[in-house]
Amino acid sequence: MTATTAGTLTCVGLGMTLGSHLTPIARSQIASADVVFAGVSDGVVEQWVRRLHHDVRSLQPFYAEAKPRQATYRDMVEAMLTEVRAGRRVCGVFYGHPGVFAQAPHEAVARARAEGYVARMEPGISSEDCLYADLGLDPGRTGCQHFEATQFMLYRRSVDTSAWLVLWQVGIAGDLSGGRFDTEPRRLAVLVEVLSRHYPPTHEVVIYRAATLPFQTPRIERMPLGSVQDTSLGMPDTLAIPPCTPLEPDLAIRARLAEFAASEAP
Amino acid sequence: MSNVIDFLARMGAEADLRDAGTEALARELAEANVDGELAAAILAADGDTLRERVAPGTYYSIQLDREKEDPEQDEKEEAPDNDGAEKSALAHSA
Repeated sequence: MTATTAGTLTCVGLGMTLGSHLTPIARSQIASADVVFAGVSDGVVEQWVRRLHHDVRSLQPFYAEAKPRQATYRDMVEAMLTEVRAGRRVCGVFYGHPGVFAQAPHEAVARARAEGYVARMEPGISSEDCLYADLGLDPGRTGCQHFEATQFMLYRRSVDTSAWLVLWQVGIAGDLSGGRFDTEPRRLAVLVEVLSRHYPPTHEVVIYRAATLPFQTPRIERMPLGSVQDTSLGMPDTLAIPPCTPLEPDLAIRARLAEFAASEAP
Repeated sequence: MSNVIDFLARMGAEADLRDAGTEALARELAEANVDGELAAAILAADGDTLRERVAPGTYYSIQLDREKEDPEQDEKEEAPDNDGAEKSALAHSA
């Protein structure tokens, strides 16, 4: 009797820009897989993935207008796991980083492991990484908060206005249906209203979109916060807000640390 | 069509090609036998035309939905029992 080959699952990131960000281990995982599933945001990039493997299956057909995204992501997970259960070596290829603002890769890895299969994730260069490079922003300088835009609108978050604030998926801001892939001025006006609790309407913000094709430049559009609702935003766009207040010194903690330093002085 | 994909992959990976001027890039595109209309789109940095020719259709990029809210949790927080204040504090500090 022949032993059944155990299926495996690896989710890898392609990075954001075609040809520029693919890591050696991700390329190797794609090449050595039996079947590859592609969840990428650009049709040209998907064509590139097809050049890397003979059996690439797009995850795009699982999307549909008005179809709840939760159902889309469940279908993606099931498609990948069906092949794993059949004993195949499966590679899920996702744009950017497969574990950053990406639901299906996390769920697929967790479910595969729960069913006893070997599953892992290989990181990729995310839109966040590109944002730091393209905007010349170092999150270590003042700190940086990240939120999903609609979640940010629905909950009262503690905003630190002395740090950068980055809102992701702002192109679907305010969607309660879970099935829209766009936003419009009415919803963006509510987002601006929420942000105006913390920032003046004249505060300069940045609309950012990483380049997906190597001849493109990133979208870097600066404008006053109050103008965001009149701006055309797409699915890949991000809203980055610089600090509007200085860092506030904690005098008590500083005094305690100064005592340590003084006691350690030679 | 594979010519243009291979060319873009090479352009993404090679510093000289990525930073090439229009003339040098046009020369490289011609040497790679990239279709004239596609080459023109690349030289014009026109991603939309390239996509329309190479991979038409809508490509969705949203891969995360917000977490489902737990109505039971909300009810508990709105109507705390005797130790409700403590539970609520724990929930918010998690």
